Amino acid sequence: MPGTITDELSPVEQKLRAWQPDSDIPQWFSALRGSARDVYFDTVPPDRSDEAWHYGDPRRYSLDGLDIAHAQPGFNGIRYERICGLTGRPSRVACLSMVGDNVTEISSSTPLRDAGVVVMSLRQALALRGDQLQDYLSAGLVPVHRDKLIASHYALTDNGYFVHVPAGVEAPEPIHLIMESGEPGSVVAPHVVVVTEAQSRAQVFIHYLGRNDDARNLQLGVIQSHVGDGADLTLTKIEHVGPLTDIMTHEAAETGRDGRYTSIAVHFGGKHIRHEAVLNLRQPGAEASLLGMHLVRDRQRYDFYTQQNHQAASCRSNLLFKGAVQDRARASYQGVINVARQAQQTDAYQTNRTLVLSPAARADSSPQLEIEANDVRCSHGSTVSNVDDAQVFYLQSRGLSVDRARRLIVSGFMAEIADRIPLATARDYVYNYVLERVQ
Amino acid sequence: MSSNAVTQQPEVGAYAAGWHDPDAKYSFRAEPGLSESVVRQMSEMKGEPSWMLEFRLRSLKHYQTRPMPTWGGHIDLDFDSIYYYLKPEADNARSWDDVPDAIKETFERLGIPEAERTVLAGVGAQYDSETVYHNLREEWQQQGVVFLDMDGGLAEHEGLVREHFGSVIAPEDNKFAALNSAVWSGGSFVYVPRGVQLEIPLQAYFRINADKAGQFERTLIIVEDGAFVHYIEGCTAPTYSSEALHSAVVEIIAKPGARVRYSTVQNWSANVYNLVTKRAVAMEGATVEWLDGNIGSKLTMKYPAVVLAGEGATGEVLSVAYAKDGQHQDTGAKMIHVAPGTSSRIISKSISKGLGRSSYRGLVRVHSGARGARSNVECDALLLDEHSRTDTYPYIEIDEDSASVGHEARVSRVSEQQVFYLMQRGLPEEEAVAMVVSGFIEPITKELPLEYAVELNRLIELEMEGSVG
Repeated sequence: MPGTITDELSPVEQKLRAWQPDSDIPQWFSALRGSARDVYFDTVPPDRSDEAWHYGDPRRYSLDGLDIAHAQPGFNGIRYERICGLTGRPSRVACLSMVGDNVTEISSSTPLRDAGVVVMSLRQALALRGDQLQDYLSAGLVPVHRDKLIASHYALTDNGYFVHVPAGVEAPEPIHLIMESGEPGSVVAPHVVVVTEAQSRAQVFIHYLGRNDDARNLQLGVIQSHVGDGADLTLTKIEHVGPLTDIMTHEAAETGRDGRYTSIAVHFGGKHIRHEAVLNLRQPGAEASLLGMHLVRDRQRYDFYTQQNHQAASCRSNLLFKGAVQDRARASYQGVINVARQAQQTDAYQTNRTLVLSPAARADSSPQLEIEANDVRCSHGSTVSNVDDAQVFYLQSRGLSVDRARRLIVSGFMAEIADRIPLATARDYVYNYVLERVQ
Repeated sequence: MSSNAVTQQPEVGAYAAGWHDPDAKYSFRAEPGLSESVVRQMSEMKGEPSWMLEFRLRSLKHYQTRPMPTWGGHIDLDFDSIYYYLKPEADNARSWDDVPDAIKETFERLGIPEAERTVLAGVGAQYDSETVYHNLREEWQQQGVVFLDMDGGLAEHEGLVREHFGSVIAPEDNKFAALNSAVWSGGSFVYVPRGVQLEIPLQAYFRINADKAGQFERTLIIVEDGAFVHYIEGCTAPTYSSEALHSAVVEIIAKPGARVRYSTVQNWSANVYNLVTKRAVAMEGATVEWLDGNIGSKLTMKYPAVVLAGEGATGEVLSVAYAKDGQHQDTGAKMIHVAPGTSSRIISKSISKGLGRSSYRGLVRVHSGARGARSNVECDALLLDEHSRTDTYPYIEIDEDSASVGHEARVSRVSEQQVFYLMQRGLPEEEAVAMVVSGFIEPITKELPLEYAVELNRLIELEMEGSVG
């Protein structure tokens, strides 16, 4: 029983154990956290027999030795402005930053506000739009009971972001949300809810920034997106955090009829990074893309887990994850396309391509299909290889050094994803990073 | 001998070989269920050396402690009601004339005598748990080729068997390998000396014939440097009302420069659990090819593997699976690249009909140091009906930067355009669909010897009956 091992509980676990609902917070939200806490203390971590964790190791995202993060100013404004392209036009971009458990508004966009787009912290939303938020959080898109790690997120989360785009509104400017890791030795659990109502359209960027850590810190994030009928949401996540940061993010989306959803996930930096993307196509006619790119270096360990759940007829989904692994790093991809019986006329694709650039680097790939309807077009592919010698030779014959040639080839390999990032400054940042860091 | 099997009437259905020999006689039939005494009794009756008994007991111990696998298919089987050892009346016969009439009739229906009449020599046929008929061409004997049932191999070539038995698949490998290691009976022992090229395939037919008969064949194939052999195993079983278990172990050792091809077409009746471990080790420059056709059974879990242990070794798996209502084919392949310059290829084709489910499950692993290893995997699934099911579970684990590995899978149904084209050329719809299906598996069938290709196509045609309309 949990009570007998109190001595071994980390500071954050002790606080969770002693946690009492706050009267300022809606009762339903406290109940959600409370039940998540019970799940956390009552369950053991998943192991390899759980398909979602075949290659991942849940211990990397455990709360061992950690404390709850406290708000600390500290974001790296220069780099962040470079990525977001804020310089020169701060008044037109909506940008919020979360440091520890504290959200501050860095800039707001008048056109967005005039269009009725809501961008606020989760805490604010709990106070101002509690009923609306309850509908989304209670809908079970990301179930508390999935495993101990998701439970730990819900048990700890007390802030994050809420984005709401009303029906028929096209958000005139992109929305930038920043996640900064807490202080060394701490854990944060931001929860993001993005809602695009029917026939609306929006672009959301989520930037994970980190400092140069001197001790482990952890982020356990959940991003849930609800794409209404005919709505169109592009969610770009760029993670670039310090070398001792561990991050597990669960990104889930559900789409209405004819909805469109694009997720772009860029991963650099960190120590242990896990990205889960779950796509639920619940109404006919929807179209979704899950795109990912990553460069894994040093002793970093990245693992990706995806689900493309086709629950309705005539939907399309396309997944493309491209990565390069070097030094002693390891990258694993595991994903599944599920086509339910009623999901006839499904088009679903899944591709994972990995370049292994160093002798001690390692890559795993397991793209899976589970198909129960017959009028479908489904395929998947996976490749693991080094840079093609013939391509390097060609570039050498044009006067480039081997090193330069390899860098160009790797960045060209990534271009298929990088070019889809709908922000020039972020694209430049990503390209430069790859060009500079590839071995 | 028990009368249970004799009184059971066969179920007659679409299953081609679904008949039951009502007069099958067993000179010994162990009590159902598994215990140390069954294993001891069996080993004693076979007159085995003590090391084999110890091997069996060690395996039994592991089997009893190892949990059931939680992945793959659903196994709903009463292991205590299975007979783990059956010995038919006939002793090993050297010539066809010595084979008892009842057993002869069984082979007659399977077409063995035809195979015998043609040049297909070296027929080793397994009747339940013991090989009763063996014929090895004299010229092969002169070349030093050994083709015996496994018990005979153990008796006559104990040194070779002791050196290699369990060296590719240890009893601790998995629960069913442990079970087989404890109660194995029959199977083939093949030894091909250095440089011998066997142009005519070695064939072994075997079948389950008693209700609740467990079959635990153990096959060991040792091919010396530069030699070549094509081993063919065909399998059909009558239809029974209660479950049957088949859990074979096949070990192949291909020495440097050797080439081994192992072809199987299995057509189990719809109540058989077929849980098989097949693995080969390919030394330097050796080639191992598995050709695997899986039709029928309730659940098949079979993943032929090649450990590419020597530089430049090559592995290949070509497989076809066909699942209809109530059937689950969980099949695939494993390629383990350990040495530099190794290459492998997996081509898997599956067909699901009605509520049938076919799954590809495979592993390609490249160990660090396997410089320049290459592997390519292609999986195609054909879904014939609205609610047929297919799954693909490939695992790719690469620990070597100079490796090049690719995997592709596609899922589709029978193309309306192709069927329409064939119909406007005068074919009825059913034949048109069958022809499209034959074309789908053609890359595999063309690798089989003609009579097997014909048999496979015919079996699938029979299974396809009534699939239109």
